Amino acid sequence: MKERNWESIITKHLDGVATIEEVADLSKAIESDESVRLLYLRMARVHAVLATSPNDVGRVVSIDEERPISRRWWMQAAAVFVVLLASFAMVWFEASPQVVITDINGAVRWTRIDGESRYISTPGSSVSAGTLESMTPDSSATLKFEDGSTVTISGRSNLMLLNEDGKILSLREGLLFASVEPQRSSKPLRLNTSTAEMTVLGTRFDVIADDSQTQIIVNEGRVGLQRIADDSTVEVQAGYHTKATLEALSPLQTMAISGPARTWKADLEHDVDHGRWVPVEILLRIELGRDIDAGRIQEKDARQVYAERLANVPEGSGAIFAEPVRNQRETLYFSSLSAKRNALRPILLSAEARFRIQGKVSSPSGIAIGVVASDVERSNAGRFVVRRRIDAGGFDLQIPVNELKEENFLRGAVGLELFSLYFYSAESESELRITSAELMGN
Amino acid sequence: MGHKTSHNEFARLLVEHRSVFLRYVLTKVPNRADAHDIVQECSVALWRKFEAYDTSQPFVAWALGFLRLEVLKFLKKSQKRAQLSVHAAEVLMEEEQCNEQLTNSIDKHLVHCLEELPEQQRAIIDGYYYREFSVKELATKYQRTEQVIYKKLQRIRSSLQLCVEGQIRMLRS
Repeated sequence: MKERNWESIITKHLDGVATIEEVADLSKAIESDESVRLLYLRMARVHAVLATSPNDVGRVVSIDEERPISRRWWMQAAAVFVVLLASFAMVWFEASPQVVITDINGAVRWTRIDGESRYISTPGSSVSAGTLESMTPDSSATLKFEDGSTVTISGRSNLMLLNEDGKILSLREGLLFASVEPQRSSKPLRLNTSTAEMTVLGTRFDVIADDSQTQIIVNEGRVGLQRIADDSTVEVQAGYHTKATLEALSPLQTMAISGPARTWKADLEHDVDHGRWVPVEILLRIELGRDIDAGRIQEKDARQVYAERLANVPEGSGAIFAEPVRNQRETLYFSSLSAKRNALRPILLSAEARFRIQGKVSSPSGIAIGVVASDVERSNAGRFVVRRRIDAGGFDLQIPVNELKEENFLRGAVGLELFSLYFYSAESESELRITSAELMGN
Repeated sequence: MGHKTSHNEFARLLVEHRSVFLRYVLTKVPNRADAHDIVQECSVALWRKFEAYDTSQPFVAWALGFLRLEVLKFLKKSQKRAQLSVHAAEVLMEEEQCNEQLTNSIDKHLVHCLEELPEQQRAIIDGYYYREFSVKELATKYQRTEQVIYKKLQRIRSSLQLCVEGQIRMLRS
């Protein structure tokens, strides 16, 4: 019998797309190999529960209707939990591998697998299976594993730890840096996203993922990546990166990381991580509507004025409007841009460089301009920020990189690699919008 | 028990435990239409033998004996299709019997794990399992290839499985 990927064949069998030959091989494996038998039973049971009556326990159509069932169950279980709590805690902390949150910035939430959720403001909490979220563009959290490996999520990111030792991770969205100590080849660290599955034996790498694509940049060691769309695999070596998209439109391949750049201009439409992108055509129409309402132009001239105005703005321009994000204390109006997702080269923040930020506010406002940046080792990621008070109307700010400091003013951003750029205001009436963002050299 | 009373009681038991029977079949015969047919066939056999059923004994255990035979009969006559071998099904049945507690736990914890799924994944499960869209229909609906939908289903079931196992381990601790 051929060596098979049983998980894949079982899945195909459950979905009715396995071949006769594959199912014959599966049958033989079930008969002779206990591990395949148990794997099959676990997978088939999940399928069976999902496939039974919508009125039954597996229903997901109306989640709200299910909650009472879940609550009832937990109420019954609560009594058992109380009795077992002390021994549970002892066993847990002594026997389970430890995953500790070692660094926290901004709004970070931890949700245990039983649904209990809490904001975490200080490092030191031990966690196991559950979901870690950094909630705002300027927040981050670092997990340290028992073997010394670290994983940091930054910006709006959502990471699930699928098992207790944290060695199976699922990044739903966001940015992750990992520094993974050498793993046993029989038990590598696995990182899944919506479009790729990665196997890590010991390395440093960055991952940027959302629903439609995953980009991995390997800085040291190597990472095996399987694209979900077609099961194609690639090994990404140090100094290379690759991108796995939801559709397998082209062969999966790795590309060398080019040398660092010291300048960068954001492509607002495609680099936006948080905020609402509005193209210039829409902005002009809104503006035209206001001008007509105010009597500044006649309705009959609107078409011509629109064409004239459109001819005077660069193609593809527009603005990112800040959108609200709630942290533990307040609502802030954020927009943010990824400097990694579409950049072909790492972007270094040099001492002589400066950011040029253009935009508009509707009322006099205090705004914060910040960057997420890290050293090459990924051991020292940080948020560096400056604040400015600006008058209503358009603004054009020049922010020297050497003015960007951490909140405690101890460290600057000079010499670090840029990951993202963010802007926020605490004032909703400011209607903060960014129309251009650029890192300029001397 | 009179005929009418007996019929009512049989119908009640059948409705009450239908999902248990379906799940039992689906682990050996994953196709839902086939599984429904098998349970239907078995219901007829059960009704014929219901007079002999000792009401002091658990109904499910009694019925599963018949269902087991019905599953094996179906597999014997379907070997030209991509179905598990009869022997493999028998081995699975034995294993299930030994791991009854585990399968019950999976059922129980899956509810909670489903709630943990992101919105889009819930929508895919909803479409595939409950609204009974085909993979092709889902691919059209989400403007994806069929392969991507299969992969997504695989990933979702895999996440659910890991979530369930995590919960079971946590409770065992």
